[in-house]
Amino acid sequence: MKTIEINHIAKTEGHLSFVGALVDADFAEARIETEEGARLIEGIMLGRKFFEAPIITARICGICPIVHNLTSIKAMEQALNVKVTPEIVVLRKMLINAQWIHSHALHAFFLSFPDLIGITNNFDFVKKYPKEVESALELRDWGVQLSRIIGGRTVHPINSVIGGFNVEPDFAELSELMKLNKKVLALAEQLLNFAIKQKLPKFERPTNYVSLKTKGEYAIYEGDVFFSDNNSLDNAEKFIQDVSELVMPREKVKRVQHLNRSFMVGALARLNNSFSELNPVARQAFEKLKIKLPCYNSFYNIFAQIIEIVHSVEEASKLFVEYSALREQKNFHKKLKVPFKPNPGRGYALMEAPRGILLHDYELDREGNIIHCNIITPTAMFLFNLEEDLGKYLLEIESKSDERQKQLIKTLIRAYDPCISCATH
Amino acid sequence: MKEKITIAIISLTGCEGCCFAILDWPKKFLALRNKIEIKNFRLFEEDVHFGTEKFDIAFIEGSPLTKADVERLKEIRQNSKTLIALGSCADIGGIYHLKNYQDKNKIFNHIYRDEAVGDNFDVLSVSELVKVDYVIPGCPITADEFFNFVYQLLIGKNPAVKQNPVCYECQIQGFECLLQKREICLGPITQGGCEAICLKSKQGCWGCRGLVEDAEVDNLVKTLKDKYSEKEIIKAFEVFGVKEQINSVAGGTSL
Repeated sequence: MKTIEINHIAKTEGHLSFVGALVDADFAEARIETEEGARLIEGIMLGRKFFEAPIITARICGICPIVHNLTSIKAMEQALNVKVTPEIVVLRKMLINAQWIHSHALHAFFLSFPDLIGITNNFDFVKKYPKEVESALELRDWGVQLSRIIGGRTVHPINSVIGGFNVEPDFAELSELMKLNKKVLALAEQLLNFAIKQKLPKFERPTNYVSLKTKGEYAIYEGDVFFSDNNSLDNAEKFIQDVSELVMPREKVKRVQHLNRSFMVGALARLNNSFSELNPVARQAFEKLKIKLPCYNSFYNIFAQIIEIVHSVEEASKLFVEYSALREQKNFHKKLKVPFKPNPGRGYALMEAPRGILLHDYELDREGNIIHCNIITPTAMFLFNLEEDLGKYLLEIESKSDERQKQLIKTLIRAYDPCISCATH
Repeated sequence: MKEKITIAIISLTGCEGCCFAILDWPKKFLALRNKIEIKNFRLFEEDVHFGTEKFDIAFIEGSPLTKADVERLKEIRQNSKTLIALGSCADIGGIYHLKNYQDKNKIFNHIYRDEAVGDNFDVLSVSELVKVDYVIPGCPITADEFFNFVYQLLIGKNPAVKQNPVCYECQIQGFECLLQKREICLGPITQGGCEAICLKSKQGCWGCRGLVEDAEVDNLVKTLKDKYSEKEIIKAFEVFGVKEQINSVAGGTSL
């Protein structure tokens, strides 16, 4: 039996390795092994105060702290019966779009893209494509600055709290940044045109794409859960009931199934399920790709992310217009934070993190102490799907050289954009 | 040509937020390449340089929470002239260190339903395992501080972070004092350098940068006791690991 092992795969968030074995001509086994230590975030939350959760859980991940922070906040607000204002929701949506832009820009251009052009060291990538690298950095920086202005800091937000925002984001600074939106949008389009010149490996394996869905928008902050395999919608409560976390020997990540089956979340899942809600320029960009939906080639997750960058730049600009109008209304400043009192209760929330659906679920006692905490991350949700893809792909690339096989396996793993820090937590 | 200085940037278990903070200033980061050789920055390259390879400076981020983390840390210490703890986790234990206040086996077995999934280490700072030459504190670090630190090292200056409390920087910037509003803020005892960024967003300081030299912990405790119970004050000291520092460095408190 032929086996392939790849230890310490770099250019992913967190630490992971790959083990694959061709069992016979029709069957290969593929396993992702994760190598993060036990931080036990869900355990350390027990007995701590409700207001600590958004600050502590943001530290699960340095690349997507904003969505951990906001999902935790939204769950706590459900537990505490806090009803936030449209002003708060608009700012939060801008913040998540900012998160998508800088997370996707880093992953698509610096972690995955070099794979497509056969470069292993990004310093060589920088040398070979200085203009494109400059554009990608500028694009990412726009998202980073948007996160900073609204969230108070780029990594681990401060200003977003249970009940809204502590202070109004500096409007002059925000307006200045937003003046660059056309330029940034043009950069995103140029980069997409550059990216799609590269050929993605051929691959196809039908799966169940799962994402949030809201009528009239490309769901990011709220919505029901959509399943592409039977075109059905579930509410969050039903989704939480139907997903199970599987504990496996020697693995600190609990892999997730929905009704005992693997499924796929993230940019490609969202694109498949909600492409009709993309903003106009993103929609055109998508059409340029000339792909038929459903697209079951997981490598396309890289392109899906770039299309989402275009969409998010447009979306942030739209939200800014909405926010500016709200800002003109009476008593605007009072609407950025909603008062509330601690009370016992349970609260859960789903949100679209860059890598897919993120779930936070808490229970509080009378004093506002956390007595239950469960967090399920997108990477934990898609690991089974990734392993099944890898199993099929191994058979398809069997005739290639060992070196090439390893490179293609790494390319597929990285295309998923796994975040092992999140998955382990 | 003079050989370039080699720098390693190593992530142990953690969120890698300090690495992303460095990438917030990508142009400065890329410009560093003209002066130094950067190795083991796993967000940027696939080549891994371990074993016997020597480094002039090693930056360590995160917590040593697996056997491999601990071995790597010791190996890097042996092979590096200067070792720098990057961020709260490496410096004082950071957020994950809250695990030490729980019954770690109980929460481990609860999360993993008694399955043997692997090691369940106590959360230690890097200096509890190896000698640390310098610290860049914060959760996360600021890119500004990181680059200044590297520039100072390059010209052979002592890059130690200057000592003044967060309060000092907060007042200079004219932010509203949360202690006066009777909210919990550890600004008076916490090492500055962050420009009181949390106070800018009206979030009280929870001490992610660790204790400032000669911190007057008892004075702060006295102020906070007006409104808060001892338990509440201790909880605030716990979040980033200041409580241990108070017990070991500052000789405890009256609490």
